Amino acid sequence: MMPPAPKLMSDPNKNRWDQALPRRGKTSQRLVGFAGGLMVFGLWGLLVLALFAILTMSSGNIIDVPAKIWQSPRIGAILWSAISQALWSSALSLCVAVPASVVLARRYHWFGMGALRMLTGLAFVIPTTVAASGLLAIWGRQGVFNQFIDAVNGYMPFIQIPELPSFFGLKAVILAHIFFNAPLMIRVFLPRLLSVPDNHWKLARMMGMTPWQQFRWIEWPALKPMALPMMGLVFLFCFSSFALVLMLGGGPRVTTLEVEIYAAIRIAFDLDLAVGLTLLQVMIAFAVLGILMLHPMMRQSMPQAVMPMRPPIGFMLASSSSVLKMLDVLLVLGLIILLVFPLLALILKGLGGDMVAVITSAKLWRAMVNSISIALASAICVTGAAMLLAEWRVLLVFKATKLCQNMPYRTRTVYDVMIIIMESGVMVYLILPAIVMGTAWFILLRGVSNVFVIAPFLVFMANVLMALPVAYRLLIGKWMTMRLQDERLRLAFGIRGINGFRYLTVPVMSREIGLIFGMVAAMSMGDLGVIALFASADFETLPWLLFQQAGRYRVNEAAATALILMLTVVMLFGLGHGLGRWLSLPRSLYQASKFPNHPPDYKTGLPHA
Amino acid sequence: MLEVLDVKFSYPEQQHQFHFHLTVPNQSVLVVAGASGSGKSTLLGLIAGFLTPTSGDIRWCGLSLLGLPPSDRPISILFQNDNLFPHLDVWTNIALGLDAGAKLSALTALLIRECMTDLGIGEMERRAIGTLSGGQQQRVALVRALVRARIDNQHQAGMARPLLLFDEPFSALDPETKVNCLEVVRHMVKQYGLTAILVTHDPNDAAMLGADVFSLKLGA
Repeated sequence: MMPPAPKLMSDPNKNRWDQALPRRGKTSQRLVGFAGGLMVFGLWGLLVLALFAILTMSSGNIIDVPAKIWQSPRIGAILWSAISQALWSSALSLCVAVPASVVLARRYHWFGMGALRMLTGLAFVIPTTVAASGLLAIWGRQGVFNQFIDAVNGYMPFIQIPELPSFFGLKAVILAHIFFNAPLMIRVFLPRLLSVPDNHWKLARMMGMTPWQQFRWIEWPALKPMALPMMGLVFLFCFSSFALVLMLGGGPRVTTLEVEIYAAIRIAFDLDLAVGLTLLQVMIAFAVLGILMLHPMMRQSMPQAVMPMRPPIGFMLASSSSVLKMLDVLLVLGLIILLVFPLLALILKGLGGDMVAVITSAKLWRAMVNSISIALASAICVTGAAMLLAEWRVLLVFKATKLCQNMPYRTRTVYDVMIIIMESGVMVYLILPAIVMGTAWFILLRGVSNVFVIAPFLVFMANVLMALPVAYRLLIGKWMTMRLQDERLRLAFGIRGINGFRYLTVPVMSREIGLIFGMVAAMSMGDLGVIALFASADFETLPWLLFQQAGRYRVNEAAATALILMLTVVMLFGLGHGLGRWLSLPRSLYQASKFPNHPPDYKTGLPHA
Repeated sequence: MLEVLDVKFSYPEQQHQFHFHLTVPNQSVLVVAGASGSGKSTLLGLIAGFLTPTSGDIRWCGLSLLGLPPSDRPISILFQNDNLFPHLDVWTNIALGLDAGAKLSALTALLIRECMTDLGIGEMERRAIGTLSGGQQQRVALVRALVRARIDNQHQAGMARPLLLFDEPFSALDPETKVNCLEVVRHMVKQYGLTAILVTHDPNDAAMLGADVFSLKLGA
């Protein structure tokens, strides 16, 4: 018979074999937990404060606000405009993204496809103001197409092709949304197509499937799980679109709630209307996100930070007909017109515009210094915060797992609840539009301080809060995988704190850290959101300057400013890329000079004979 | 002596409870054999501190190891795979395993060099892990474990880890490399008075190491 099992020792320090050794604390873990907790508390605090400000600061009774909004003659038109343009934009983005992804994967080895794949990442960094300027440079009254038509009409007067009509309006907004969101969808779809096993393509070839049959039985099933969630996400982005609608909407007929909030504060100064519209915007955004979150794939629908690319041998086997090749060429050309032409046109127009006058203007340099300072500060802050939150999440997951280790069933622990509170505190800013945050701060601070004096800080804060969810989502997947993979070794060797971070975390996550830094800097540099509320003669940013120039129809100046803004954004993005490369440089503890090739005997310390 | 005293453990959402009771004398090798799912790796996980027993005690030289993190236990463990950090070079992989603070004394460096040469991977200090074969990678991990086992305060402030835990580290290697590695283990254990537990599916391993066999039965 077995002896009764001894119980676990109540005092873990009693009779330990290493009690003579100094205890190695968990200072770094505690620090991460403390800082992470403080940050999440701050995020929730800011949110509650903002909602409190919005709810309490209307001039009359807050209960009357919904009725006032409901009775407003324009509310129906505003909602219809916002919903219809978002529906059209998301549906058409999907129609562009699906065939484009198929072609980008199928023709992986074609010349220039690598550059085109890289361009799909531009949607993350190109400022909305620059994209709008680029689209105007192509499709506008003085755009490339109309200049081409003029030239043709001049040479061949007997043809007389009619000029393109005014670009502004619904079609301009939809085209701009496709410019941004189709690449975003491609970024999600392409890895799914590339991860289809090569043998499936070989089987398709063996079975003699036509391209349509391949699409129906192999490609679409790979994309289908992500199609609806991505459409929903794009709908949400377009529904809360601000800068593009402001610049290209062409009047009150094409609008969104965000534009109307801006107009209510900045133009009409009707705070009740702003509060009502803000509440409506938040409610609709939460409802759409709630519906989307019911879809299991939605939880992982963020585009991957660093797209895994693998040459798909099977694709090459599966498609070799010349008709299909022609079709693919046409699709690639279409993609080039959509993505590359606006940027090329902008470069040409910018160089040919009032570049000298713009460059010598002190206003431009002041705006640029403001923009770059805010962009770099935001990038440093967001990158640090995202890493801290990711590490804290890992520690919470480990604690939750450890706590459940001896439980008969996996139960939800306090750590699981903390993870939910932390993640929702971060992610809520993804659907809370910047202009809504700006409105809240405007209402909150206007009685306390001159909001225009602290405008740089408010713009910085808005950029940080808006970029943090994206940065966190881009980081967390690989961070978790890396830490789960390493944890046994880290535990076994006690590699914690700064050395674990320096030698084990940073080199593995370097590309993502660099990407996040560059992306956040670029996004902040080109942001035209909260600045629209707080800009003044004393404080301007480059996108605001561009918006003003475009609004005053100073087309040549706007083109030159847009080009400078684009170059600055690309430079900041490149800075992030460089940072990633620098962080990924191998870190070796080996020092040849310290450990000579013919060392002394390790037992005696004396030189070898 | 390592004592595993009536240690009980069960995984979450699993009815089955593992129950271990064994002792391993100092300076000996014990081979743990058994079918898949019989708890071989679980036993090593409990000794190493990756898992916490529901009851029982694990003692080294009469003193309890419970409550200690794996890095503070007198163990060095080798897994079947993922023993090394692929983005670091050979030297840094070994060095971080010896001192998480990344500070090595010259004597420790010499000991590493000697072990690397003994195992036939000398002059590979700066090689990236990805450029090594599977056998070379396991030998790097073996060097790290052996140096951890032999190190003492003369080399590096810290403690020796004379208990080696092998969780089928050589099962994926080709027969010749596997025999070489087992020979190194046998030699090192004997020469430096170490204690080792080897989990394996192959009954020949015990014969090669001249070790006792502890068989685990499914449901034991």
